[in-house]
Amino acid sequence: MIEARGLRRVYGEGATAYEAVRGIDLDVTEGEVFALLGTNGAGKTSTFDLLEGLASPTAGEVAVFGLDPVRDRRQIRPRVGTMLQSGGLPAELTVTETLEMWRGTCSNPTTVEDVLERVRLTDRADVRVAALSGGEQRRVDLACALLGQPKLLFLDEPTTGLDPESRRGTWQLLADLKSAGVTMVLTTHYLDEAEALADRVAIMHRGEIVVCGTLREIVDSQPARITFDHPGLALPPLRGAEVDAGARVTISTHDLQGHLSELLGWADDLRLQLSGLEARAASLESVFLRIAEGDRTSATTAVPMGATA
Amino acid sequence: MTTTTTTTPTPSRMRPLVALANAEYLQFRRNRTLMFMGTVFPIAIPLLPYVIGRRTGGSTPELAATALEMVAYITVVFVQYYSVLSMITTRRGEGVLKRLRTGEAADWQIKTAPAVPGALLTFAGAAVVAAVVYSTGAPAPVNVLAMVLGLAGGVVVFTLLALLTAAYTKNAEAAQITSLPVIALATAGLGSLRAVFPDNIAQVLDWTPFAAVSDLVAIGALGRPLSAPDADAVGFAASFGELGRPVATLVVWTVLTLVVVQRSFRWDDRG
Repeated sequence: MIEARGLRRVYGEGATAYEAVRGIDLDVTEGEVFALLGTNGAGKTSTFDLLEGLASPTAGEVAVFGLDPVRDRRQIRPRVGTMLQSGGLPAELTVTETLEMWRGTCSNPTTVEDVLERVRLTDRADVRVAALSGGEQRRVDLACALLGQPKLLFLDEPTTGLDPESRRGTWQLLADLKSAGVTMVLTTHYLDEAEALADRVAIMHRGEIVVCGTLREIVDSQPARITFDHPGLALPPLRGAEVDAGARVTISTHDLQGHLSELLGWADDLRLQLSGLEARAASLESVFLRIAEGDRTSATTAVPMGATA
Repeated sequence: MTTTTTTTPTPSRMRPLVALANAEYLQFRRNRTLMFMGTVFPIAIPLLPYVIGRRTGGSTPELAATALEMVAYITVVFVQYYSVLSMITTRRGEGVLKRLRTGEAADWQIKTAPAVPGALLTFAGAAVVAAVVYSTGAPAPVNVLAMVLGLAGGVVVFTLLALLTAAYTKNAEAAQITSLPVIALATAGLGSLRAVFPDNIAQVLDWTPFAAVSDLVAIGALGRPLSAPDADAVGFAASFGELGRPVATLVVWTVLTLVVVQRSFRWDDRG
């Protein structure tokens, strides 16, 4: 449904030029939910602009439904719903007026009442957008994206500013859309959101996709960690063990159960109490943090960039 | 990459424009400053000197033409140009333009919609002033078509000038400064001002957008431009022969600004 190859986006020229997207490849297949994660300034929104056809790439190619999102905008738009990162709603219109305006631009719209119910804003229909909370404004934005009954949804941080209950409600709505066959590309700062919704995840850092794959592929590619305070004895010969300056031992392993059994067996034999013992499987959060901290090497070796499901 | 051809439902081409223009009208109506500038201002300012002048010298064709030129000036410069500039920069700052561009409305419809309320008020204001002027004894206009053409051309050119100015205007506050060159140029195009400029300067000013609007309105009302007080007034048939330069001026400005707007228009403050 979406194919991108060697996408680049450069802002400005000459000495002030800034390369926000640095040659990324990605594929999104029909019916899947693809999450684009990354630190602030990683290039997610710039990538979205290229996929949505709001900007032309400086280099590279992108196709949505097999069409060029800039050149073939008129053919693509009726099948796409978009929610931008922020703003975009006229402050002085009421919720209903905003949705009626948006509905008037759609070629195959559902009713305003339908989308209001889906985003649970029926009771706020006559309130001006300026008087809504940030979370409610996000839900109006989502309602606009749904009005045209899209086959593909671009959602840029869809639940930012929502309270926990509204977030869950939005997750359920997105899950229902997925069940109905709607393809989604979303960005989020909430890793639990990506874990709950996404079939595949890509993590961007400094304009590049550093890892890409299913949640399982990404997590399995990273080592688990066992940590404990150094007992002051010679340690068992476990691979990947390191001792930091604070005398804290860290063992990085892809065989958490085996290494942990071995370590505990060794401690039992010596009747040793391992103080501060912690064992943690890899998680999306740990992968993300390693990338954010610039530990690209360990992350990129595991799952190749641009991998597809 | 493969290319697929698909068919999608085709709504009425004008439907998005109607929806966007209606939303713009609702917002315009809720902005008291814009509403005052769009209703009271363009009617009261031209009628005040007309009423005073009529008491002393009667309803002359010159007085009627001056009142109609003034309503054209206020509406195309302040109601149309300034309000479109202000609305476009505000919408861009709020991210509305970029958001609308993610939908099915065409670019030209998104750019045109903010011009609709001002255009309607321009014609409404002109109609009210004309009704007052011609119902209080002013001689009938020479060529109504020329007047309508001037007003319509003015609305188009000054809308395009607003879109052009928006390209280098950061926000609605900055518009107070960036609009000054266009306002100054339009003011210099007033017939009464051109009449007092030296000939070589007046001849250059004849080719400015508001000068063309002024001449069309004055030829329609009076049979000659207000900038040529010594010229003979022409009748209906001969008036068409006088329309060439002002119409050509509006066409040239329309084409030039359209080309520049296509290249310079910014949908997003981010660039």
